[in-house]
Amino acid sequence: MNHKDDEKLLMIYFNETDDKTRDDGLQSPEVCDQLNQLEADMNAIERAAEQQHPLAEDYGQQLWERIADRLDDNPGIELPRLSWWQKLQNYWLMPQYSLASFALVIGLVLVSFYVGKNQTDDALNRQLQEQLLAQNIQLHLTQSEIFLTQVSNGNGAFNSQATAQRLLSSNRLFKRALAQHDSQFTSQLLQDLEPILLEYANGSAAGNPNQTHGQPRVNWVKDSSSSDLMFQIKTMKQQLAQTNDLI
Amino acid sequence: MMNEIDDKTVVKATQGDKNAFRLIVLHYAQAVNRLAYRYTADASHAEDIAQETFIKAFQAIGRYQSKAKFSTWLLRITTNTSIDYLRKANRQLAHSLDQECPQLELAEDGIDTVDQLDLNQRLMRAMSDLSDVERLAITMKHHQGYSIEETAQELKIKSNACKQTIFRAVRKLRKQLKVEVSA
Repeated sequence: MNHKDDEKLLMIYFNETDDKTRDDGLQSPEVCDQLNQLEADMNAIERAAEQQHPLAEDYGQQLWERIADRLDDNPGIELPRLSWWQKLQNYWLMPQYSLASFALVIGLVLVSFYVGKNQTDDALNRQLQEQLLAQNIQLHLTQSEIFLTQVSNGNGAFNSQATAQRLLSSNRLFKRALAQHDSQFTSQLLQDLEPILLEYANGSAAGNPNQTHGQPRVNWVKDSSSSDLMFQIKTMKQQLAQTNDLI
Repeated sequence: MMNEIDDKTVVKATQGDKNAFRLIVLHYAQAVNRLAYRYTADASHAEDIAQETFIKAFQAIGRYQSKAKFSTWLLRITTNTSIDYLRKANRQLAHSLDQECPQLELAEDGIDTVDQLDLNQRLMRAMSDLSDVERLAITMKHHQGYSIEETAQELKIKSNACKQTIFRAVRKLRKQLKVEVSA
């Protein structure tokens, strides 16, 4: 009998073949004898195995004493090994943790809302401040333009030095305010305007032969550089009036 | 045929009665240990497995359904625990199925020194010389009545490989019987 036949015989013995294979395999008396021998051998093996490993009669009690302390008080509850994600999910399902998680989420939403709102408010405030500053500078430039026109026309009916001092103070304030904005053209214009105002504020033009006391440089606007400055003032005024944007 | 414990005790145990579970341990401890010994051929391993089996059974007893015999349910836990135990012990469960077991060949070569031993002792030795997968497969199939398919599934090997494993194990054990006859 070859290896294949031995294997088939074992499968017949273990009842792991269909009826036809079994019937076909057992047609020969020789194979039947072999099957009987196999059965006898397997029974002998089983008997031998049963006699192995003798245990004490009170082995059950011994075993119980060894495991009794390891049994928890809630039988029937199998605790499967959970992954960290499953443990986290279970925590969320517990009412107190679930409520805390919910409160945390609500808190985060509210914080985000107020932070966003404050950021929006800040942006609005900044825009409003810029518009107010633009309007004030526009007014300042108008006053400066009038002042320069008056002094250049030799109008001595007003105290030009006091006006110049007031305009100079305003000019410096606006320059400082503009330092916080991206408005280089407006800043440059105020920078150019300041020496003129300073000159009148100090009354330093008094010794100038072209000037009378407190009224320096008659026809000031006829000076070419001064004409440029007056043009820039007018242009900037229009720009501010139209857009309210500081440039 | 195993003597079954009465249903009332089992029902009480499923309801959390620890004393009822104690009776179950007393009733089935030997059977569980003996089966574990068949699977491992090692008394200390069998003891570990028996303890682990009852602890697992205690934890899972709420899921026991009376459709199956309690012993069948308990010995299935023993089988699974044994397989897990041998796997954890880093023993080669699924060794190459084309290779013969070298320990057995040594035993056969040294037949002159062992033929004085009685049949049971030689069969015991042959059992312990089987590889873990061979011992598990033949015990599950022959003693526990698993099908080839179930055995292969539990051992995580292919069905044909399982047949070969069982066939090889039977052949090795039967050789010891032939020695007896020839002696």
